[in-house]
Formats: sequence, C-alpha cells, structure tokens
Amino acid sequence: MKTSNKLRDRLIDRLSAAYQSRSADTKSAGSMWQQNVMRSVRQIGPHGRDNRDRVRSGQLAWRLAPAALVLMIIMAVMIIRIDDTIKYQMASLAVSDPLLPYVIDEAF
Amino acid sequence: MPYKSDESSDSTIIQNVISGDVNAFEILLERYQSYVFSIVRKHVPTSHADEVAHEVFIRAYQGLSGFSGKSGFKQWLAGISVRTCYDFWRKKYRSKEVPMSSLTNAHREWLENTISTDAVSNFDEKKRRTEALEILDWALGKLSAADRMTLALVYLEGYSHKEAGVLLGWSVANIKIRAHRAKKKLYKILMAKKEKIRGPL
Repeated sequence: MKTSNKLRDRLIDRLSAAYQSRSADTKSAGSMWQQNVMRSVRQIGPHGRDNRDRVRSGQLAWRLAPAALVLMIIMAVMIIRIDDTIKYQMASLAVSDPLLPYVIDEAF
Repeated sequence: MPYKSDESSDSTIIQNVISGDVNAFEILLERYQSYVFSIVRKHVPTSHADEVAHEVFIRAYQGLSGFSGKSGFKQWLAGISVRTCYDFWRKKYRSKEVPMSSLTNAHREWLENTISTDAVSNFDEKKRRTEALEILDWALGKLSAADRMTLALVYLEGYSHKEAGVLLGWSVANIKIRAHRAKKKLYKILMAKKEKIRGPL
C-alpha cells in the first residue's frame, strides 16, 4: 500500500513538472481578439442605473432570505398550533354539550 | 478616449465602467489579458484558449457591479477564469467531446520508467516532457470536469485546498475529498492503460 502511494506520488510529481513547463506560456492574444471582446462588451451595453439597481435588489433579496425563512417557520408553527387549538376546542365543545348523548342515541 | 493613462487604479476604472463608461473596460482588458491567458492556457486546449478568455472578460464585465473589492480585482478575475475553464470542461464532458488521443509505446515507456520501483536515474525528463504532457492530457480527459479542475489546481499547480476552494467557489472539505479521489482515479486510469498498451496497440 505504501509503495503504491509512493509510486502514485512520484507519477503525480513528474506529471506536475511537465504541466508546469507548459504553464510558462503567458503571451496575450492579438489586437483582433481584444477588439472582438470589446465589440461583445459594447453589444451588452453600458452598466447603467438599471443594471446597478438590479444587482443591488438581488443582493438585498439574498440578505433578506434568512429573515424570510424564519418568518415562514414561525407562520408554519402558528398554523399547526391554531389547527390543534381548533381541534381541542371542538372536542371540548362536543364533550361539554348536554345534548350530545341524546344525539348519539338517536343516531344508533 | 478619456483613459489614456494606464496608471489609474483598478477601482477607479471599475467605478467608471459601472458608471456607464464601456471604453474604460478596455484598460482592464489590456492590463489583465496576459494574466487571464496564463490561467486559461493551463486548463484548456490552446485551440480553445481565445474563446474561453473572451468568455472570462464578458463574465467579468457583466459581474462588475457585484465586485465587492474585498480580495482585489486580480484575485476576483482569477476565480472567474478558473470557473469559466471548469464550465468549458463541463460542457465538453456532457457532450462527450473530450479529445482522446491514443497512447503509444513511447507513452507506456514513460509510464514504466516513472512508476518502476527502481526508478532509472538516467531517465531524461526533459526529453520525455512531451510524452508526459500527452499522457496527462489523455488521462485528464477521462476525468469529470470537477475532478479535473481540482486535481490540476491542487496537485499540478500546487494551490492549497483553501486557495483552490476560493477559486472554484467550493468548500475546503469538498476540495480535499475531491482532490484525493481524483488523484486515485488518475493513477488507476493510467495503470489500467499501461496494462492495456502492453499488448497490441
């Protein structure tokens, strides 16, 4: 196992050395390429107020996301609890209703 | 052209671009194109470097309003470059367009020399660099985009897990696990290929 790891590391080292030799190429592209990029950028259009506002509103939405999540959890808990309370109230109403035994007798 | 001087700071130029001056972006383009190309050429084939670098600058322009300036423009641009290269390989991987040049006896010889336990001292690394690069390109082509990029950043370029995580926008834990698995996968792929090319090519 140790030998296998050693061999693996040696292989990676050699491949890395070869890779680094290729990395030395840092020359940039020609002016034609630069013109093409600028043409694409101009086609997109200038960063205007709309663009900035869109980005800002996007950032604001993400900042508000945790608060919205907490609010959703609180509302979900409230709905569950209200539901339970209604069920409890209905059950206690039914139990305390003096007419209920007669209604059940009539039914059966 | 209001920006004749190339000495304006990045933040001033960025502010001008964000204010609506498209031409100011050309200074950033001139200033950083060599840097972007140096990243892109490491990760994608030379024939695709122009197109990927083009995409990097378009993404940078589009995302400029969201640039916070915390880590510096150069670092921010490096992240965009790496992620654009990752997207390039993701698209290639999905469409199964990965270039697969076949390996020959010379490549097998290189592998055997490298892997043999009693490594040959007179093994000329420089002479065999081309073979090594061809083997590497072939093996990287067998990996997924995520494995490929993680392995290249961590093991081939020597970035720390944290730095690679920042560049790719992933967690350190994710990078650590993926880098380790990718290294094992690469070794396995090469060993399997070495056995295969032992027979008829």
